[in-house]
Amino acid sequence: MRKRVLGFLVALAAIAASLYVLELAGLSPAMLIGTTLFAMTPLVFAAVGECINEKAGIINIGLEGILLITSFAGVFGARHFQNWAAGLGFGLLVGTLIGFLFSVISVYGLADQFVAGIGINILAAGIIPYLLMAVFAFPGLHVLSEGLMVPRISTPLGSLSPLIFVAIIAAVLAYVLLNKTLLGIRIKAAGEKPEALDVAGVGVGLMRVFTSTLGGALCGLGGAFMSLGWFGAITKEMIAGRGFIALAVVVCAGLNPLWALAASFIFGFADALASTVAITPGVKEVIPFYFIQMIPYLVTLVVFAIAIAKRRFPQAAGKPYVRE
Amino acid sequence: MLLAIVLVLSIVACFLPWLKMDAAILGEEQIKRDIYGYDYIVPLGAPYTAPVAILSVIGFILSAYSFKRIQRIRILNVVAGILILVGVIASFGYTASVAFADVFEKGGSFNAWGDYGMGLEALFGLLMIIIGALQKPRVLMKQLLDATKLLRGLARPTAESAVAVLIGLLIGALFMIASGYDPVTAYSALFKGAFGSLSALAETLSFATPLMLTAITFAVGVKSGLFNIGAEGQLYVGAIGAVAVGGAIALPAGLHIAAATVSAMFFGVLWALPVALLKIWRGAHEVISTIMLNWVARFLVIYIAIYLLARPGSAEKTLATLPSARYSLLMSGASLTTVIFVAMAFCIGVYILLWGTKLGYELRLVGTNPDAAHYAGVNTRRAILLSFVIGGLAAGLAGATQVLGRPAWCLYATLGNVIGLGFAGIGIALIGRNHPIGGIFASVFYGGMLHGGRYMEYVEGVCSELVVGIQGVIIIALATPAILSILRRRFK
Repeated sequence: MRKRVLGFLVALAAIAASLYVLELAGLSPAMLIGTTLFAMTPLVFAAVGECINEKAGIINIGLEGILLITSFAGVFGARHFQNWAAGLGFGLLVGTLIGFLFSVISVYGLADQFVAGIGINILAAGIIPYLLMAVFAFPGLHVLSEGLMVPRISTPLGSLSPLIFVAIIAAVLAYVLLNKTLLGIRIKAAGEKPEALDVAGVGVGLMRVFTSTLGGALCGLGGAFMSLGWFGAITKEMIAGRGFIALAVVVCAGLNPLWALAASFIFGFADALASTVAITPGVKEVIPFYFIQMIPYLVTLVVFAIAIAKRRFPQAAGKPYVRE
Repeated sequence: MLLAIVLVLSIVACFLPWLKMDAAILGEEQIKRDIYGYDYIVPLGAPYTAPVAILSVIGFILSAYSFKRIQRIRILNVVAGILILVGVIASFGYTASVAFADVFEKGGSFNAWGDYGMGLEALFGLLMIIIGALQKPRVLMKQLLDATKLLRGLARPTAESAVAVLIGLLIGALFMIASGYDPVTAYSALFKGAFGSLSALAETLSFATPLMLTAITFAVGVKSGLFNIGAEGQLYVGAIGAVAVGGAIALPAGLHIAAATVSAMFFGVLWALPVALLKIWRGAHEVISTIMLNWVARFLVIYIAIYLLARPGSAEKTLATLPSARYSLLMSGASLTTVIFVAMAFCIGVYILLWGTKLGYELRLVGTNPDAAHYAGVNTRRAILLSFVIGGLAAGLAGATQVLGRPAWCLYATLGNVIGLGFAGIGIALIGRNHPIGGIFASVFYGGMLHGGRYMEYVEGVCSELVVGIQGVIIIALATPAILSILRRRFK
């Protein structure tokens, strides 16, 4: 715990230092923090859902795919109903559905969760370009009209999406759910000692279906945010590894939603840094564009490698529970 | 004795088509007109090649099984195995092309190719006889009995893969219906495009070449208990390594191609090592580290392709590989080159390593039961390192096949000719049941889907990337034992 606090403080100091350097280079720190909040939000949604999920013993590495599918679903819903709220709802719904189906095949179908998760990713990578072509008749890209995006509110950090605050609230609520309620204890029992939970008369499968569905719903909101709240468009490579960065967030946070919020802020900053610096005049001539693009992935890899030590995972994580 | 009969029959069958080719013996050859208005000849040997193909498969399984039985591997068996595999693919190609030429009324001149296949078949038959002569009849009988057992053992995984593939195609069809396409025309275009003519089939095999290698990366990982999905990035790095040696350096003819291939494999391993070391030292899970390195590799390789190895005058491509570093084309009109033999030899080599050596046994033991392996004194770290190194070698070689063994002879700066091949390997490994040899067959199937997908897009307008989606569904179906348990009961 102390090490984690120390690590986070070091990361914050690094962020503050880079903000200072960037201010000298003529970039506004407020704008960069604003972009960080945007970049952080899909990570928070996906990671918080996955924290709850892994606490109950289900590991879903298909977050990347769910984010991509639901960002498409968000655009589709918004276009179909001509309403951004309906788009968000549709993304949420599709995410819920995928989470539910994933839990059914892993709980009742005894599926290998890693393989099924990677299957979701590959399915998304193929089906989204196909649907973009079949529905919008344009290869690999669809841009939303301005009116269908989630309206933004102006703050001192620039105009922000209200969904950013929803994500932060979701992380706090998830923390309360896991640590302060009976349901949270049962969820943790499903991951640590499913036999004990079963003996206590609570269905292990039911708990896992609930967490996976909840995780899918949160991830779906994250995906819909990507297209409707942030980019205002969908491209087939829009997610760009964020699903896996969210997995790294979950590991670094030790399955704690509040730490997931903190870790998402660090990784979100790396993302924002890359996208801001890459278009700053004066910088891109010195450092090639492609090296700047690597920043989020390198930061994730390094932080992940440092933070991984002695992380404890629920004992039954990733294993289907079969009553003996 | 039985085996000897089978062998003699197979050799007779090998030569039958040649006899039938002589039109004087059995009447006229059929002359048909294809859709473009050109006349072409359907050789009469066609119906006789199908049994040959089946016999070669049996022979192949037999020889594969003798690898397993005889722990000391005989060099003859190895040679026979490679020849048989080539023969099988060639004769299947021949059979399929002729059969489909009839069905779809589209074909070309493929007699020469068929003759190659038949020649190899004959050679394989001879080799099998030599091997048979070297062994005692009783041993042969036992092998044959064992082989029938093995065939029964193979029936279940094959059926499971087939069911998963059918589920995938069915869901793909549902998607097509939902978005207003006609799945029947689309799928018939897909299979016609993939296997409908000899050049299509050769193109399919060309697509399969890198896929069987990236499948090895994932399959070897699974065998040692890892989830190695880093083939994508290792393939990019391997491809740029092949360009660097094959395009930028001039070397003597024979040495150049070997050096370029080895360089690709070296860079593939180089990109796999950080993952292995993080796993061994820090316990970092390989899923996250491989994906992050995939993205880093992507930007790094694009940078090198644009700034360091770009072709003067056309920046969208890297330097072309020099002619001395190119694998030669096997036929005109398709991009199949001799690199497929290198790829298949690599797969067979990995098979021998995993099932024929102590090192491979340890690797598999770590995968099935790490605790038992630990207490048996197996060096777990070495096994994990070995698994990543084999994966890196395979993925690097896959990168080389795209640069040194395909007529683009370069790497596109968008990575257009390598992107997605690494991830496709995951599904192929699973369809091939994480077995190097199963992976070869699965890669031919999926290579056909990829190549036929383009024809489907051309004919029916269905976006070819649907094929990738279908693969995702196949993976999910294969991951779920409950879906396949009906079969499990039947084949128990």
